[in-house]
Amino acid sequence: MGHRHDGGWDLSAVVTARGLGLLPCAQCGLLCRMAQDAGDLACPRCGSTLHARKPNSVGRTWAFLIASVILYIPANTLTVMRTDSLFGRENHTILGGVVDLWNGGSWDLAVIVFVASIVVPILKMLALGLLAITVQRRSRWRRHERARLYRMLEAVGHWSMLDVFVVALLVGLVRFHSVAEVLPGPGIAAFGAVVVLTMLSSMSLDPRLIWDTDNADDV
Amino acid sequence: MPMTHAMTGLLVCEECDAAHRKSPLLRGELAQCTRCGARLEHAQRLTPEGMLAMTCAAAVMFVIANIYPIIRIDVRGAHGSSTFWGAILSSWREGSETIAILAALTIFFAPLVELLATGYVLWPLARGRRARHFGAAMRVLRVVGEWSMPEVFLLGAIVALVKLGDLATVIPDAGLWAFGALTWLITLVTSFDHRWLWDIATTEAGT
Repeated sequence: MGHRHDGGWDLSAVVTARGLGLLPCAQCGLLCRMAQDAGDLACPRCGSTLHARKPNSVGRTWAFLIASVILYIPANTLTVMRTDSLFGRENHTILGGVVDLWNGGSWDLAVIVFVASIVVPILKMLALGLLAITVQRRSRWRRHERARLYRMLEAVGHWSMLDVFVVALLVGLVRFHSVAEVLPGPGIAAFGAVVVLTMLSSMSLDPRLIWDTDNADDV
Repeated sequence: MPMTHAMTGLLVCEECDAAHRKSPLLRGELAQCTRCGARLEHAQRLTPEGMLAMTCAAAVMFVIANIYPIIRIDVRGAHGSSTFWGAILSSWREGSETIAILAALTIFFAPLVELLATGYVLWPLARGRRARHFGAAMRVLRVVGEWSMPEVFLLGAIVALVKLGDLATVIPDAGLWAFGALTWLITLVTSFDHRWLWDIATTEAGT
């Protein structure tokens, strides 16, 4: 496991690929020598374009993040699922689905769905905003924690798709036209879009930017 | 002059750009970046042949998961069941094209392409040759891997089972078990380090 000594690092000991004049290919890992002219180089092994850092990383991160924040409003206020049954018609929202599970006695699943559908998207948007701002300001604040935060975002982001799959399955299963029916609402499309956009946002963010604050010449 | 990681003896962290001196790992061992803690390198447990076998097993599970019903349901004598595609088509018909497309892409097409591309890359590699479009297949694998989510679908099916449990009798069917096995196999198959496969393809199979 990594040893953390915040502030106690001997930063001069860290040698970066960039410092060595090397450019690792993002696709195949081949180490290439940086050329003097900053034109686009292609990796000689796999042919993909070589970039020292993801191009326009912070700008793209913000663009996807802002779009996801906007769509998060309809995702939570609109109906994600409508149930028609003998007991009448009910409209469900994302939060409502969690409450139903809880009241139905499945508190364990209620917690899982609550985390996947509510906690993860909100924390993910906040964390992306925090990472984008600190990277933009070339902050050296808590870099280890921020690097770990980025790794968590990457690992956890797609689990929020859970509700989209639950609705699709319920719609497919409950098709007894006279007795009970489940229909998808417009909220679930917005919710799916939020998940996709936050995933695109975290993919655009280049974690190496967190560490590019070491040397003044490392710009 | 291009160099592979193996040739320079260097290992560059993908998350912070720190360069490390490469040291040999034992089977199953993990190298971590000393600066940011990211995973640098993971010694592969499987050989290309072993991975190919896993890919074939995953392909069988993939077929079963997509053909057999996932859940059977019984409400007051009315029976129903839904396969994965049944759920997708119903969502489409009921006006939610977005979720139908999202689910089809992440549960069907992404794993399908993953399995096909992995098989395409590994089949010749297991014989010491390099596939003709090796580079293109590897690039596809990188992109598609981000969007493949059978494991999330598996959890979604369990949530759906419990939600319906109050209203009806629900029974998990063969499709659900196959999705479980597929999730496990596909995670094993796709957890390889792309750089490792590239290095094998360069050093053993020539260019």
